[in-house]
Amino acid sequence: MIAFENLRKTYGKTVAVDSVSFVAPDGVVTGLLGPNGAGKTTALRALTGLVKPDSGSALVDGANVQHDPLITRARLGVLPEVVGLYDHLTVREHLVYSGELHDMGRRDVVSRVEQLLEQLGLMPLAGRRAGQLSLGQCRRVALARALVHNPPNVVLDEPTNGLDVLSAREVRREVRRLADAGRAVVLSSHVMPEVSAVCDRIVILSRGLVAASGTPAEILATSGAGVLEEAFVSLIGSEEGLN
Amino acid sequence: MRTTGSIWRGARAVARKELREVVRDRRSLTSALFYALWGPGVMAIALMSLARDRGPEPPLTLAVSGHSHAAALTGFFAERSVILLPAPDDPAQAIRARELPVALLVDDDYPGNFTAARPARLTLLFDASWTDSNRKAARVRGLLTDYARRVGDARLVLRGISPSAVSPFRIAERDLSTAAGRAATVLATLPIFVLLAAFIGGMGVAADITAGERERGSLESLLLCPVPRAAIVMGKWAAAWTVCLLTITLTLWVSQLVLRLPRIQAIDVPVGLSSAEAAGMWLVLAPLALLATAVQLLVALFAKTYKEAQMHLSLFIFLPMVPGFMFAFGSIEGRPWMDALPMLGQHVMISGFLRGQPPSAGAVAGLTLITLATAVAALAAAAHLLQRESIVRRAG
Repeated sequence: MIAFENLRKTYGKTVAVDSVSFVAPDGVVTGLLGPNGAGKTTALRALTGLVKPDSGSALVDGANVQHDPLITRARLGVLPEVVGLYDHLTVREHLVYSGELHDMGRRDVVSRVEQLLEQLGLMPLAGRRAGQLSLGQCRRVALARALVHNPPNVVLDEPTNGLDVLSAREVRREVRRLADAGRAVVLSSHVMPEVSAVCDRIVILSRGLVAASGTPAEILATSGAGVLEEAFVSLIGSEEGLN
Repeated sequence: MRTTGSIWRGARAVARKELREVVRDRRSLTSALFYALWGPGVMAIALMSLARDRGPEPPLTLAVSGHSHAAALTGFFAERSVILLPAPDDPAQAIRARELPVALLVDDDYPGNFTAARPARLTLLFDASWTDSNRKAARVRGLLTDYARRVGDARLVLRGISPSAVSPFRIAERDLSTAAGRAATVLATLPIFVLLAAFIGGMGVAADITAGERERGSLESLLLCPVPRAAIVMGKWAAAWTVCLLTITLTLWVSQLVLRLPRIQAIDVPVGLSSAEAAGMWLVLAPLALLATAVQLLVALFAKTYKEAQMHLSLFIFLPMVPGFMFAFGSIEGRPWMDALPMLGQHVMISGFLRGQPPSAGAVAGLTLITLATAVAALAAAAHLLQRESIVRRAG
């Protein structure tokens, strides 16, 4: 389970996120939706400990990221927006490296890596170096890398960004499977149809604030709009009106 | 909770991965290895030209005009294995055109003056601005002085005077600066090359695995793993150090091979680097390499791109060269307190090995400890830098 409690983070005078609170329960895909610059990545980085909040906290399975970063990182699988693979390492080596960094035993790493390669359809690419992969393939490798240690919580920052329709669909299917297996999944996106297609719950961020949250049906009800996209626009618009 | 063992395992995993990339990427490795050949190569060229200067001189060829006037002199020249050639019609022009290094002109009055024991005239033509001409002129002058003394001695004896009476002293010259001194000047550059190896060896790798990783965005995924920052820094440090050590080892080995070249051995001084001395230097340099790579990691972590890091680090390269050059050109002398300063101390010790005055084990151990402590401080600072938010790109 992932939770944010009154998270606030500023960069100089810019408020990146402010009083952000929500819970992403196990077995559920929670979508973090918002336009570019709404504070999605800042919130997710607070979760990984790369960003230190000014106040409030990010929690992973009840543990505070600021106090126990190593414990929370071990319980978290992250697909960052910039996948950052090593050009000269093969796909399999990436996964093994990740397993080693999570201090998994040698035998566990090997069997888990083979299982993931199979599961994510990466077997044919296993021996290829990352420098020779397409963007979609890279993202799939990065996703596999985030799952090597079998984390109970998964965070995906713009997982389908730059992917073609087929690859994006593949990623969405995988996201669904992760939640169905009981994991807490948080997915950030600025693509409306993606969020409505895969998320059970939605948190709309606008200018660093939570503009709305709930199931898609609840959000529709709050906004009074007929479709989610209109709800999104009206919610963000009203938020802008407040400022 | 993580144990110390798991920190080591993390550091080892990082080091192994970095080294694997270094080997596959080849860029950093090639530049490091190129350096190992370049430094001793430059020294070899300098020593070789010295060896040529100091080598046994080939027989002197001398163009003489009017040698029929001076049969005894030509006989003396032949005795000293000088090859005599008839001078061209205009020897001065030939020398100016650098076709001929020296020429000796025998005056037409020579036989008459010589027989009458009056100073007979010989003209030596040469070009002082031309090294070869100058050197040959000096040889001819030397031979002529010998001949003059021999003739003078004979004349004195004929007149019943002992030649020693007109020679209050004889000067025996021994040029002690010669080969030994000149070779030592060239060899004084060896510590600079060797010290630079410690700084250049790991530089490319250090820049690539810090700023390069930042630039490519892979540092973020690394920092997401539950590995203490210290383990990441140690792993990267170990990788850069390994490449650096390889460079140092190769530089020393190639230097040793260079000094064994027969042409350099022909310089009649014991220039050489025994395996024990090379091993001693290695022991002095290995901790310096730890410090150099630690500081490089730290400096490179401030840079956002590989290029920027390279720029910072290449400025930093001049540091070890400063004491090196000061020593090489003799503007400072070794002092005991220098033994305790990283870099300066290593320079003093490496130079000591070359002069046949190796440092004591205690001095090496002391310097090593101080160097390592400084390195650990740099690493701690690097690990601290990795904690900063700004280490990853600002969120959009």
